[in-house]
Amino acid sequence: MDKAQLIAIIWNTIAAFFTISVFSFMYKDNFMYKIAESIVVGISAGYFTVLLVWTSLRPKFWEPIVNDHNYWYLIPGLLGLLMYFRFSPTLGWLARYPLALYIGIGSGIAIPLQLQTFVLTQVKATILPIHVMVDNRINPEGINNFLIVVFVITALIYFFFSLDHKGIVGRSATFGIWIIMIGFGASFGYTVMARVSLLIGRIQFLMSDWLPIVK
Amino acid sequence: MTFVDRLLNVDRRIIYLLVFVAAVIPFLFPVDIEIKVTPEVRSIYDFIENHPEGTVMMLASDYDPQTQAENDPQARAMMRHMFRKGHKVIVMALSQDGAALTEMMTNSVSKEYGKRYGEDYVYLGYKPYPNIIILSMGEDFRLSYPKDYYNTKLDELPMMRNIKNYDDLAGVLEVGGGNVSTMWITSAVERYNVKLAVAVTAVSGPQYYANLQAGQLFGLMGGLKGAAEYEMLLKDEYIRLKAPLKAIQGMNVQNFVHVLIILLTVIGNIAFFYKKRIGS
Repeated sequence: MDKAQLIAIIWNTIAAFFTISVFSFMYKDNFMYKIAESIVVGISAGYFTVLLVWTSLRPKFWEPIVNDHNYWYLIPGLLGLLMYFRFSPTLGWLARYPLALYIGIGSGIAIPLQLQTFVLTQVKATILPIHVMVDNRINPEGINNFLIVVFVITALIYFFFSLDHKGIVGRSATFGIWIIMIGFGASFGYTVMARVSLLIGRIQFLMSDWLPIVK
Repeated sequence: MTFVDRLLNVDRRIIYLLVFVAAVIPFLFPVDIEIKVTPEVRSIYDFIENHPEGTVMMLASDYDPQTQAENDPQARAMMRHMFRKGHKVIVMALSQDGAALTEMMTNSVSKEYGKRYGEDYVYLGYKPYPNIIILSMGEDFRLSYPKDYYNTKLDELPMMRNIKNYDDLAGVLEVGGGNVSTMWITSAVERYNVKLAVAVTAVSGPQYYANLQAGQLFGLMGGLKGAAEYEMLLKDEYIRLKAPLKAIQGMNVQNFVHVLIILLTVIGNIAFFYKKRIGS
């Protein structure tokens, strides 16, 4: 057995140990689960701190100032430091300046893009031809388009509370809630698949990656 | 306590055990299942397949360990396809816990094809604040990534010399488990008209069908099922590389577990309504 194999066995065994420790919670809360949980939290925080220093603080702040003598970078650096004044009961107000800048820029970028992505483009995508002809024959795409238009309108009617949900409005709203429920059902089905996938990932690791090399 | 009462009060640990057994059986007795390829997955395949050799594409690998089981097979499948076609790949990561995972995935797949770093692919690494990074890359990659993951200046990498921004890429293939995929749509597609396909977890899959239908995406790969479809399209390549078809194997397990869950749901409902009917 060479060194690389030995290292693979050690690390995979550690990973297998923690996988089983986490799974042990399904039986009941226990000491091994708590150890695994604490280690995940600790390692994640440490890893993120180091990553942030090396991928952000150093190349985007330290190097431009120290190597390139670009002292403009001190201004955002100072604003960043002002954030920490939140911990001071008397000087906490200083943190509002960087926050105001951050929220202002964030909103300015996000609002038009969100409106474009989730309102304008989506509305445009709902204005569809319901009579589609291809080679002088009716194309089934028209039926799909018709269903999309009907489902969108009835689902919207359900959330329209300015009129009583009676008569045609009431029937449309009832149909709309059925459509919404079908949507939720599909989402739930996907969620079950996603959760099972996570279990599969760990079982694949234990049975295909770890067991064969330990044997 | 009657049999029906016992059914309605079954210990959850018995259900966990049944699910575990159902998940392990297909590993011991594999069943060959047919996986149909959906148009939204095929369009990603066609996009990579129909571009000429040497085209530059981006793989935005924005997943972390929590969703590795679903996203890793998706990323590997697309990366293998791009390398098989001889495309040049820019890899990046916008999930802080996923930077090392992406590096492992990139190194392992590039090794299979004998690709050279800096000429056939580059790894830009992780930067915080994904929305800002995605927007800034529309102007110039160097604004957010003056250097790659290994601290080499982008201009010193032969592949990156003539690449400035999204205009120099054929498209972006995004693999993500969270809302970073949405940021790519808002900030890259709507702002810079980037051609984008997303490979997402099954949980977030349904929400992206609206974006697919609206033409904001040219392809969509949802969860392990989507990855299995892509592996089906590349099955010969996987066999040639002797790479494990993890997503297809995973779908085998999914089938067993889903049948069990449906059975348990039906039994639970029958017991519930039976008890309600007899009124006790």
